Amino acid sequence: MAAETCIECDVAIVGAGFAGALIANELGKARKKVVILEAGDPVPPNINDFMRRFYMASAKVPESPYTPEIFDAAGNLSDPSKMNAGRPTVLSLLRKGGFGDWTDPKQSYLIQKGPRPFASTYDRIAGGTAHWLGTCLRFVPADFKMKTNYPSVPQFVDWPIGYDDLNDWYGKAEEELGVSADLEEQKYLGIQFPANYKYPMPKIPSSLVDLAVADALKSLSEDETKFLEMERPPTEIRVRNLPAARNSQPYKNRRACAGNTNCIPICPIQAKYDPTMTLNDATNTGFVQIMDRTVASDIVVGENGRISQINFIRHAGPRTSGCVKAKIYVIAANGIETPRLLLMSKNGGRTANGVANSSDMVGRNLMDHPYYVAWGLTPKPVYPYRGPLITSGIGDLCDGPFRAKRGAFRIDIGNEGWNFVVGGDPNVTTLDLVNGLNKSKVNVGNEALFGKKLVETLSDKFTHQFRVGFLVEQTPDLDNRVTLSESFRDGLGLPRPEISYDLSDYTRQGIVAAHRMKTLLFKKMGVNDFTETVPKDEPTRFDVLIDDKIVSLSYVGAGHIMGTCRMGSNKDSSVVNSDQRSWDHDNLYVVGSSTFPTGATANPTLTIAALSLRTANKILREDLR
Amino acid sequence: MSHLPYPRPKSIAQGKKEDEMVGAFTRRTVLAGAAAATAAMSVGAVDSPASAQTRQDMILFVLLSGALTGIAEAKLAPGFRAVPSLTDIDLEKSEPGSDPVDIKQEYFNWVNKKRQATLRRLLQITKDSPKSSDRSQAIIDKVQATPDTKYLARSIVLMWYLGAWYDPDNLRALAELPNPPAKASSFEVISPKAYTQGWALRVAQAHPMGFSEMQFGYWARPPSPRTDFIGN
Amino acid sequence: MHYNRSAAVAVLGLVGALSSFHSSQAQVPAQPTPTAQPPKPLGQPCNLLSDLVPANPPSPKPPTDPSKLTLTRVDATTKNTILNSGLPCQENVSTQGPDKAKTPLENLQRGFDFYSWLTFIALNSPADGRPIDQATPNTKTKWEDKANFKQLLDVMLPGGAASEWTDKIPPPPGCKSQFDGNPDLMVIDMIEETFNQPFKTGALIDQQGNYALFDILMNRQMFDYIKKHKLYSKREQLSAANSNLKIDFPAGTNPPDGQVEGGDPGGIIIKVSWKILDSDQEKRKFHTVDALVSLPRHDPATEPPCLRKTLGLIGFHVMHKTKSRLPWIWTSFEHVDNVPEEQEVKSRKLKPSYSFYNPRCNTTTCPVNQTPPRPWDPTPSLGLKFHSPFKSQIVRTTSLTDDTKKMNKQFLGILKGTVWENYMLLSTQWPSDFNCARKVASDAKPELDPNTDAEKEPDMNCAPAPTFLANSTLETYSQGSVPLASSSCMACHGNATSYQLPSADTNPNVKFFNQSDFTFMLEKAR
Repeated sequence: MAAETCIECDVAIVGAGFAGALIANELGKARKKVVILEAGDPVPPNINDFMRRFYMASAKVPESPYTPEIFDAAGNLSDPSKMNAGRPTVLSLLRKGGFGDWTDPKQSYLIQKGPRPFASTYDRIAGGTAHWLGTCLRFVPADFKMKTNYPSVPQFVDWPIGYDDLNDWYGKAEEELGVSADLEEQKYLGIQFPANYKYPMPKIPSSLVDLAVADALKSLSEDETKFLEMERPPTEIRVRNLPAARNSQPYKNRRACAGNTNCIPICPIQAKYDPTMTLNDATNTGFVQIMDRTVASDIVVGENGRISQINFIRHAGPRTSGCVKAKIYVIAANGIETPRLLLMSKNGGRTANGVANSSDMVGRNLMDHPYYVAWGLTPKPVYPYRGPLITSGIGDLCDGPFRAKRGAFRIDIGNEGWNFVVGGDPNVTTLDLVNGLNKSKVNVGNEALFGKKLVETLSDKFTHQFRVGFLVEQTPDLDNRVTLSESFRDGLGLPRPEISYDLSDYTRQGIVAAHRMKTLLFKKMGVNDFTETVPKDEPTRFDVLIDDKIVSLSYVGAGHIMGTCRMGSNKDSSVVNSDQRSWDHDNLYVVGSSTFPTGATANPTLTIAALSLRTANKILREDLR
Repeated sequence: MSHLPYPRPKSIAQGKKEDEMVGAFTRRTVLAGAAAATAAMSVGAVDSPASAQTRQDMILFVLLSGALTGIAEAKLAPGFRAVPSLTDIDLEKSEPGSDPVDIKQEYFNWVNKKRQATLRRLLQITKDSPKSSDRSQAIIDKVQATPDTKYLARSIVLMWYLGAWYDPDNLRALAELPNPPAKASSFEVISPKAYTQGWALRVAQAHPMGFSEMQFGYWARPPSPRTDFIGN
Repeated sequence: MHYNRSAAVAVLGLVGALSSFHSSQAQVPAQPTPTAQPPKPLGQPCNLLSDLVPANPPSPKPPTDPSKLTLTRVDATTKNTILNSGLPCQENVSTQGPDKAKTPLENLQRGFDFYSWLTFIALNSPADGRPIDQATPNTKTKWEDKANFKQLLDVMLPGGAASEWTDKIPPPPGCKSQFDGNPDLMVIDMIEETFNQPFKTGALIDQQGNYALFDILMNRQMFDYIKKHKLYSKREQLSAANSNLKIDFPAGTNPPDGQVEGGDPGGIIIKVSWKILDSDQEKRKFHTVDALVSLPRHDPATEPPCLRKTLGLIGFHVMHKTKSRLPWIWTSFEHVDNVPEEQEVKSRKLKPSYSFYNPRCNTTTCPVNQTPPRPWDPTPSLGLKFHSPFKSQIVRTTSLTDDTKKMNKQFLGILKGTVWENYMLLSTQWPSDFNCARKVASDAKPELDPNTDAEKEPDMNCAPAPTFLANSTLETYSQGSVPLASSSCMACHGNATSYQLPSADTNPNVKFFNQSDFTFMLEKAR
């Protein structure tokens, strides 16, 4: 490495996702020279290939449009040990011994030690979450002060900043991403806006499914809702439109949503924001360069504890290596890849515990929003499969006295029928009714139908399908962590991430409360519950006692990877300060949701974006003056 | 949000361009001569497999598909015209349909390649079916007489509904065996075009996920009646 | 000689996508070479020619036997008739044709392609009224005449200001001195969309290193509708007054049966692409216009450079709304030297040079259909030359059909000797579900109130034929055949919306539409 000339720039950024792209763009606009190291493939001029791959996929999972390919030629999951920039897939979260065995390193990119699987995934192209839904929620003020507000929960810590510190930055993030929402509707649980604030675009219209839910929750008795342990048992629970980076009008040269019902994994008309848009703006400044298929492999610490360079391996064609020297370094590689890189960088023993890790917090406190899903058939048609995947949700239950005892939950109202469940409708129910099966559980007589009867039955089932999801707050637990595997490597010879993960009792009680809420909701809506518990040997299942009965519940991942490089006010117990600057290395920033000390219930992206813009501003005003 | 696990696919048609798919190019044989008709998008000649498909075959295929799926023939094959009427068809005078997507051709070619002999039997059943108003039911009853026609008929329905091929042998294993092998659950998407032409969600007055031909805000209103979608 | 409209054939109440439809058709007798006439307003009278004529002898009744149909001849005998037939107000198409091997779809496509050629000829005929075969390369065309068409930015004025059709909009201040000396120059005030294709998909750089430029124009009928509803102003679009407006531009209609006058072409929108012509040699093969090009404005304080350039026409889109095709008819023409087809590259049947392709560069050095390196914004000090040595290497991935090629050959034959023999039709995209395409308010379904074209489910685009269409200079980077991702005029334009907002009145029976009737122009209101 000594003989090589490093690429030189003002700021080197690892990762071209939301955080990396936004920071690069701010710096590029200010005429600072930026190099982004992106592990994945280049962004193509159009989405033809992504869409073709998506349309052809039999498993339309979040990764399905993107490279690397999920399956190899033989139909097996691609071997992670051969991938240069691997990534987890939801298809490798299945039970031991079967296809997609979550503990099998030949199928699972993450080496999952358990006791439970970490169930969220990411891509490796334009960062890693272009497949996102688009949800752009602000945290509620209480979310930032969990230790102060709920001191009885030992795991909680406070953020070193509060809602007021981020208010303006949220606004800037909403402008950059292009968020559509109704201002008045978003003022709940203490969320407030600067005077004269306007969202960039009006809200996306609510769906008929939303209206059915809202109707059912309009009048409740205190008896019914006291289990929630809110300040006062609510007699109405409001359904609110979901702020989203989805155009409701022409905005920044993008079309308005046409209701393709496909946000995850990809919007066919790019009405939904994704980081390629900011990346394009960034490179268009003339000051930002993206090096794709370039995997950062080592952060080199020089004199005075400052970072002196980052080494990388390029896999665009024959493998080469190189390095980049900058004044400031930003690691924006997501909640698993960022700690992996920091831990991998041992500097010949000088940073045996990894870079930026004097606190020993790097990799620890891994959090997701464990997602509890339930589904059923409504008494009257609600016409799902129309509009964006989700247009409204319930956030009013995200904070309250209950938080001293159990995790909060936010409710997603699904517009997509049973697509997310039963193994993927419309295929499963259609196959059931044509071939006399009953995987969906709606074909009780195992009828096999043709013609008019098939049409009527299928229509009847689909138009009444309803599903609801609960994002549950997870505690930061020290032993939920990302470490480096000692035995398993990827195609570049780098150690793969090893994950230890479990759900604390606090979190599981949050899922229990979600389950009770589901029961109440289904009762008020008159929904016939078809929620199935996964089989006993599925690793995401757990049994709890609810009202003296054993109930089996399970969770999936929400795609939110948080906590592993948390921010704090104290270098002994956090990795970065409130500006996301490393305590240990002056010229190193860590950004993205790895810096979240607690996860609350809101989707992280808007907060990632706000923090990124804030950090970019800091870099410009202080480091690169 | 991640999705719940899906059944394992058998084989993935990866990187297969839509152009390469059989059926992207329309070819018709007319009476005595073969006249390669260039469809709106000309990509290069693609031969239809072994036995030449006649105009009659296509009309029968559309009638068969209409009966099995419950979707109107004129929706499956826009431009389809039954002369003098749907229940009393003159195969010479009727029109198989002519439209820019022409998914019927792609499906015919596909099934013909997979199960030529059984397809022939299904077309014959259609041809022999009585000219009466319950002809659809007669076809449905007749195809269930033997396993090969029964399961191919189901494959054809799933093809129209989901744009995907569920092999008849797999369907039979799933339906009849107490413990079908894992691979019996597999299926393959026929082409991007086929996926976007699926009827499963149009029957539900919606559209295939990832393919909306409607405009902003439509989801806030109740859909048009089902008959607007499926013709029946 | 007139034919009556024949009814669509219905079967058990199920109507197929294509019906036998003949619109009014006049047979124009052969005329002697016309002398210069005073310029007629476009579409007055409507061009009623069709691609089909009855067999000899002409009969007042439509032939019941399709084999008696013949194709309209396009050759020296009909040249003058065709070149002077004017602008069609509506398409004249039929599912019938003399060739039994052709499908109804192919017959209709041929009719639309014929209509497209008539449209192209009418719009590009000299503005002074002379016939097109007397034009020289730089003769001003009808669409370049501000009496007939206005550029988008002359309608969507700063501050959302109102204007009259006859208003002479002043050029950007940086162009003023050059313009004052020569007010006949076309002015292009560059914005993002002038050099960057829709949705910022890419700039296009020719083999001489110059940017290609894009512009949009509308006719009087479009302007009048926009003015009437104040859609030139973003604030007005957002206002309560426009909450319940269903945008519905005027549709072209033929005169009543048996008449010559009384029709109207309806709304027409044109999109053009230009090549910067540096040498005189280049200027001979292109239709040219002398222009002032004002570079994009970056900073409100400084005037960008205003460059005097000769522009050559390389791409020509027409959108035409007709009563029988309410989702519009979409036509695209290109200069023959723009790019090779994929087939031609494979078989090495290449011309010595193209505007956007270097035949001597291999695919490793010059990967095909890639966007230029960023930044894409023009560098003011370089004028309209791209900042890097990069040249766009573009190939047309979808071939023209044999039928279209055949028709092109005929029309280029009668345009021989003029610069217009260097332009060819790519295809016409048109809504093939006829009963969807011509739905009118009188077909209203009471339960869907207000009834509107925009409400068609499941397919408001009414089955576009062909499914995909892309111009190599205007949709360069989204060519292909992947649904929604690849270029299709109607699939994309069907997503166009305005800034309209739902009314404050939350009456659930009042439905909200912001569909802007297939045009993205309304987005540009300021």
